[in-house]
Amino acid sequence: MSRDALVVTVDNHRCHRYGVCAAEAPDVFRLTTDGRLDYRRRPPVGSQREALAAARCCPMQAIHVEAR
Amino acid sequence: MSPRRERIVVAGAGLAGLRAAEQLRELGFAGELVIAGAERHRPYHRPALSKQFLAGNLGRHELTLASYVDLDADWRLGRAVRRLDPRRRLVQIGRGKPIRYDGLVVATGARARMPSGVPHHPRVRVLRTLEDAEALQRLLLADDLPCAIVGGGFTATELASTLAEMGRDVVLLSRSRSLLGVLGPELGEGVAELHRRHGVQVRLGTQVRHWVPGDRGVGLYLTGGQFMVAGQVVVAAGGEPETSWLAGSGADVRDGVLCDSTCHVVGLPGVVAAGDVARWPLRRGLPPRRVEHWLNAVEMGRAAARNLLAGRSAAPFEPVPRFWSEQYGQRFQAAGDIGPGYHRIPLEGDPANGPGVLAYTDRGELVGLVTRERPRAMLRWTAALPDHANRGRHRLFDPLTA
Repeated sequence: MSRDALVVTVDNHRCHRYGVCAAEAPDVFRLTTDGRLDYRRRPPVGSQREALAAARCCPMQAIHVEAR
Repeated sequence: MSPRRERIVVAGAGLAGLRAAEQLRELGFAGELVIAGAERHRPYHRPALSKQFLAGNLGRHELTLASYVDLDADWRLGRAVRRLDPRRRLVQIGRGKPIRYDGLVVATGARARMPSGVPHHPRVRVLRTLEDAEALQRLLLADDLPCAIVGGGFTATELASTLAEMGRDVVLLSRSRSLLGVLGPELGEGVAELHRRHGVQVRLGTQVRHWVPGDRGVGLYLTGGQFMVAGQVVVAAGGEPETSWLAGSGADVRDGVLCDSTCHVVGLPGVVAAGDVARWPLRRGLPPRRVEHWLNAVEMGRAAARNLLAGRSAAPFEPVPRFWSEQYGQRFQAAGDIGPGYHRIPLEGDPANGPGVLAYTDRGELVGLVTRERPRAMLRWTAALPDHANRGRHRLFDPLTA
């Protein structure tokens, strides 16, 4: 999977903004000061491993990661 | 003749087993991968059972956990592992003929503990599996009587929150004087207050003295002399590691299977363990213990898999434990070492009554954190926790921003 480009999407209905993803992959996910989740749909190659860790660790299982 | 293909058996098809299997493939294990589980389902998101699933916001198919590699596994579901012969490296799955393994991952998890004296009755349930949650859903539809929850931990309080938000009458019966005792009494009292505000009857220091289960409800005589009738009773008394199949294997299974610091089961070559079932020293010098948290199953599953393949270069698994809980939309998050035995200092806000951050300290050193409705603060302060894997240490009142 890591050789392909990854596309990240977050299900906003599931996400409760715990920010575990931002701990796992700070270059991909960020909690904004007004409480929203900001993320890069196409994480750079160097952050793909972390993006997958974020998806695995998400308490709400709201992160979808797909290789394209 | 071609060499025999190597085989790794993952005993347990829950979260820890799934993440172990995934890591094995990621690291290039090309042999046969057998995953056996007592439940009939592929690994699913258990934390949602007491919350979104019970409330009807997520269906059973939405609970299935994603895998991020092609596992190419031989799934043997609905078949519990039954016996282990570590000397001949044989494991029996269901009633089948024992199969040989080169490596074994013990990830059989925990079952709900049923204290002695609790009657077997259809209206008296536990909440651990998907079937448990579905059975509880059906019971709740059958009447409007209050639901009694026996317990004061995370499952008990999250379930109380879900049911109260569904408009049910809930009575929370906790033997302990404080809910969520692990967080310390201040937060415990704050959580009790949160439940009372949402109409839950919280009865602390209370036990069921006498059970009178009947066709239309369960009568409960409580310590203190009160009597109540519940439509259904959920016993949330914690988990018991699923180790009966390891009897006679030589493994130490007093409260979980004993592992060394690298997740290898003590005394059993080629066997690692992960998740709720595993007892290991979290750091050098600490007595081995189990950690029943979801994120630990993810991280330990992966570490155990790595160390199974690593042989002599296995590395200690020394995590910073993390967990979360949500009640009435209030997000509680914890990291590091927490417990009522540590000093507790509010760092931001007033976490017992509203948003804030509580620090747990040991001899002036920050060792753990709980936040309430402060996820950004959790990120910021977690960075200040000692990273034992890297032997980092921080004094609580040193400047924390680099």
